[in-house]
Amino acid sequence: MARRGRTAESTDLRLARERRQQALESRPDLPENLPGPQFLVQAAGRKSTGGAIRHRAPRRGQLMNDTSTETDTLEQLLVRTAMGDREAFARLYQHSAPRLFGLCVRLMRDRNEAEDVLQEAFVSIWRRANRYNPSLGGANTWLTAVTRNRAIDRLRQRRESTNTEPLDFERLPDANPGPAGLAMASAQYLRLERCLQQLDPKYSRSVRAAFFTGATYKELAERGQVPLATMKSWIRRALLQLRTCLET
Amino acid sequence: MNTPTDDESDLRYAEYVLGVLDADARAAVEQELAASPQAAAAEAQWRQRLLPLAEAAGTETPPPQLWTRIRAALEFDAPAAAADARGGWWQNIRLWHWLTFGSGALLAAACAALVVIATHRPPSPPIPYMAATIMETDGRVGWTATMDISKARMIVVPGAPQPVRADHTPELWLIPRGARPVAVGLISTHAPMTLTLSASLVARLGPTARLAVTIEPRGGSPTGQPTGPLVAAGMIGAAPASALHLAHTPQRRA
Repeated sequence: MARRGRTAESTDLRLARERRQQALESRPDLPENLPGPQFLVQAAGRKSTGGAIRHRAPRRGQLMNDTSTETDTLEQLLVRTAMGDREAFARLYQHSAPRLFGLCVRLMRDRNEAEDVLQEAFVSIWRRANRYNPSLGGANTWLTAVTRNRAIDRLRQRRESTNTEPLDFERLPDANPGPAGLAMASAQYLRLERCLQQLDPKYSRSVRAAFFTGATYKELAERGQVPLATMKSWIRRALLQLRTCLET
Repeated sequence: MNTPTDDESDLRYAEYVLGVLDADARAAVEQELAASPQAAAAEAQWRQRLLPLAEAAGTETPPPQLWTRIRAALEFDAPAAAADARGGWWQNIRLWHWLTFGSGALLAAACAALVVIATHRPPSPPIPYMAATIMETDGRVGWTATMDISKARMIVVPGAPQPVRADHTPELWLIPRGARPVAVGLISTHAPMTLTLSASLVARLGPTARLAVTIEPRGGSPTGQPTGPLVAAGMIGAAPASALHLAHTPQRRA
């Protein structure tokens, strides 16, 4: 833990040096004793080591395939991204883009659009990284939420729903291909999957269809040819049962 | 455990995370999330519950040029934009938050920040920034507002404001001397907000104007004038502008 804190601090100091350097390059007449970037870093360092980085044990953000010798978690990369560290941002992209792109392709059903969404998502991630609050959850979940929100916003902007494929909630196969290898699946995913399987199949199929198509209640009801109220009640019951199941 | 109304609002956050709400309902939830820490926490819980399902989508390798596109969109390679790296210091809300977290060092911190900022933009004349510390009646710093006149925006960072009761939201007002309050926008007790300022609003900013916060029903004052209690206020100051001036007269040594 202490080591991680120091790593973060040294990143701050390095950033400060760079800023100071840039400042000196652009303002060679800057006097040495003006309040300089060190001041900012002291302010920043206090907060970052006490807050984000130390608090969060690297449980599920831990990178599984990190071949480098460093052991940064996604959380650390995201916090460094918030401080303007482009290298951390590049590594964040490298480690999370394939997973997020898989989700974009699934949601948009069009590779070009999926690329646009992923681009928008990472632009947002860079600009809004400072809003990530580690006490409210892991970096992985935050990145997924940003990406998915971008995709859903874009789906809502389409004048008409392009996905009108009929849904048969009675017979729809429980297509849950799962992660390529279940060995790669997180404990959270496996738990959610178990809970989904305990639901009435109509409910779980509605939830999966909603999750992977980004469709509104209305679109789901139309595609499934069920009344809107029925669709709402299926999904709401599913959500309440999932909440209970995941609490135990 | 959960009363029906608890369930009802909790379900809205679940529906938001799942993505079944239409655009209007989504926007309404987003506004709620920005205004209420409880709502944000409930939504975060639903993220933890539901978003692991994304793993079932599997992975796909994005084309290599996508990273180039992202870098280009963020202007990483534009050398002139070095200081504006991530939309500029202005975007670094975290920095502002840290700087203004403790009220004591506020002014010094703002000056220091602006000294650094000024040095990042070499040959420009002093840039018009204004700032206000919006104090609550008990003397605590409720919010800090910094105004970038050239870009017509104001960033409002919460310090340690009193919590706001449910279904209500803090609203920021500009009160020019001797004039009626003008609505600036809804702010949050826990998240920094960037507000875009209209030209007429920008024209009225100045050291004789004051900023005030009242507590209004969710969605903002229904009348266009403050209806709720005044909880915090502060004068707009030109202090950071003088800090800029300081940065441009480097011979002044301590």
